[in-house]
Amino acid sequence: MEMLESLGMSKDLIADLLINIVSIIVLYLVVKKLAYNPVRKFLNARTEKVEAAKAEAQKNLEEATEMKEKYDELLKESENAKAEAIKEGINNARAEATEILDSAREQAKTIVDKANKNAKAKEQELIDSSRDEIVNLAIDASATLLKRDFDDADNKRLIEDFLDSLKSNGDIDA
Amino acid sequence: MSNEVFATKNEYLKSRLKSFSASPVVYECGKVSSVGDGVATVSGLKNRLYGELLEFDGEIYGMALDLNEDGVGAVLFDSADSVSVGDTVKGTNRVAEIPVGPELLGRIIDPIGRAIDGKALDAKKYLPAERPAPTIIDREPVSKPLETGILAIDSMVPIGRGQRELIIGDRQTGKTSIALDTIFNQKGKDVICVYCAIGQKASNISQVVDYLNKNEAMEYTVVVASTASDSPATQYLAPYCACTVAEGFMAEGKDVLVIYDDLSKHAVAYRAMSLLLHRPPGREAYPGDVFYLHSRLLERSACLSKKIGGGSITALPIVETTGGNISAYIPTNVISITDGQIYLESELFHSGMRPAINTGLSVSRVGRSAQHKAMRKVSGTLRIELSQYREMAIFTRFGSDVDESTAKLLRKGECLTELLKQGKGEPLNLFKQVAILLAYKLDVFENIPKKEIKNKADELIEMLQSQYPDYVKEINQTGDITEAVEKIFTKTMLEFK
Amino acid sequence: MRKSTIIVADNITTPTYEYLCDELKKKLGEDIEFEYKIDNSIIGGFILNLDGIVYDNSIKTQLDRLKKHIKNGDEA
Repeated sequence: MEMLESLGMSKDLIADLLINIVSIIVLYLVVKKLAYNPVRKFLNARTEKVEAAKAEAQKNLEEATEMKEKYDELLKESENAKAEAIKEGINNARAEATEILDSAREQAKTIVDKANKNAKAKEQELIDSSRDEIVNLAIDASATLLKRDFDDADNKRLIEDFLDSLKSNGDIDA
Repeated sequence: MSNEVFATKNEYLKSRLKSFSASPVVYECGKVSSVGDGVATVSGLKNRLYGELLEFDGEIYGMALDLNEDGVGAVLFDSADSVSVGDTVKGTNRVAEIPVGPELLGRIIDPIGRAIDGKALDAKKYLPAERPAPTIIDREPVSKPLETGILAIDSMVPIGRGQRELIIGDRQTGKTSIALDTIFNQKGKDVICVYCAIGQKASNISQVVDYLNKNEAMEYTVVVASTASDSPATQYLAPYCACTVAEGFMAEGKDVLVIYDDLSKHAVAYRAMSLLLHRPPGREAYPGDVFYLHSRLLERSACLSKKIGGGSITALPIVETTGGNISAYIPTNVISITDGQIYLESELFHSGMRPAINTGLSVSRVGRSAQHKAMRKVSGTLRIELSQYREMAIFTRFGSDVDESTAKLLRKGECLTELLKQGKGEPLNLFKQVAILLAYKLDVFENIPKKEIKNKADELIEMLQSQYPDYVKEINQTGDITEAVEKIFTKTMLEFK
Repeated sequence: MRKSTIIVADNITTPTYEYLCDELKKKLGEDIEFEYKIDNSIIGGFILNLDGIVYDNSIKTQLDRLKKHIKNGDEA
């Protein structure tokens, strides 16, 4: 006290100072009780929330990465399966194509054979008909010539031949 | 290549020219004194043969069927409109002939020997249409089976090679279908088939040819066709020509199947011809020799003895009845000529039983000696069971209660009736037939509803075929089923049940 | 009296024709009455029609037979 008095402060001043200090302390305690604590609580809560959110986000990220990996794997698998199926499909198609080609070749061969046979037959037909034509022409030509050349002596000869071969009952000696 | 052919042809022509000899041409000549309705009366031809071919003006041919002291009555083939009174008629010293030989396979010809399927026919050998039947010494008993592929026939009315079996029934009962399915079943069995259409509609004949083509049966079949618009003389000749074609193959030791579709129309054509030739009509206006008409045709079907080559002709004549009357003139005639008949009923047909074979009235006089051994083993009691079933079925119509043994009889009879149904164009080979009958004998289909029996049978056959392909082959090839195989099949079938 | 027709071409002379008739009568009997017809299409020779039988000795018919023979047609 005396120290403080020596500093030139009056008793009132010291009392005001003390009251200020006490009221500050009281104010501080009140504020702490009323404001600081809730605020701190609120701030703490918010920090927790943020932390929680961060943790969840981290968890989601991990889950998502896991899922992505899984999907990637599935995709890869399905790619493989697709490739397999395509390969099989190609093989089947190839086999079918060979089959179809073979049967088509066979059919084509049959058609070609038939066509050849037909062509040969047609050729033979043509040859036959032209042969017939030639024979007809030749004989008709000789007929025309004979018409001019045939005379009575030839007739007589024919008659003699006929009479020689004729028997009395009308039969012919061939 | 063509040049060579030409060169050889030229030489050929020259050699033909050299080989010609002028010989006298003498023929008998007459004049047409009256013509009408396809019959021409010719005066003057005194020395003709019966059935000789006569040539009228304009290359029209007729057949001398009525020989008189002062002339000849001839039936004309083809159109008779161009023959007039006063035309000259030549005797040709030839009787009706038809080409024979392997070049006929797959072709359709008419009874005069011309090809009517559009392609040329290069015939090398001709035989007369009327030929004597094989003598008694030349024949031997029928022993080899002719498989029709139809279960009902092969099991109960079996046909052997060299037999004549009549197919008789009303119209639209499936007669032609049985005949065609028999042809179809001869694929790969080294049997040549001849189908003779007598007076059929051209549309029917073309359907038949279509059916044969689709089933690849034309390559071993010859079709001799005379349509309903052909002259009676052409229709009259058709079956004789078909038989001659068959005889051409039989002479080479082959087995031939001939189908005459149908002999009723043949008799009608002959009746028309005879009435126009003023021959006296007999019963039902048929001429007196209508029995001989068919007997001489069917006698030419025979089984030749091995000494002269061993060929055979099996005849399946078809006769159409009206109103189910098999006691009419022509049916009784042909029944007494043939070695059995397959009787088709329209009631059975319309009630769904196809082939509509009346097993009670159908018979095969050659019988079981013409069956494969395997078939003989499984088909022994079928006819009796069926006839017993039929008798019992009449009683149960009155709704009476039946005891157990009768119920079993009825059920088995129903089952057998279902199994005997067969579709058109679905022949069964020996193994399938034996399997079905064996399964029936073991009562495998005991608890199966009627509608499912056929499907079950098909399943059973498929199973046996996939499990024992070797046994199947063995049965089909040897015609017999050994005891061991029978045991195995029995076991499998009872398990399948 | 049997009637008979002979078809000839016009390159035959009457003496030849009458010779034929006489010889035929000698061989086959005196009771035949002959009648002739001219048909140049037979080219030469004759076709005798007697008692319903035709004896064809015409050139045309032989040429036709030659044609058929070369073509190897009817061997009948």
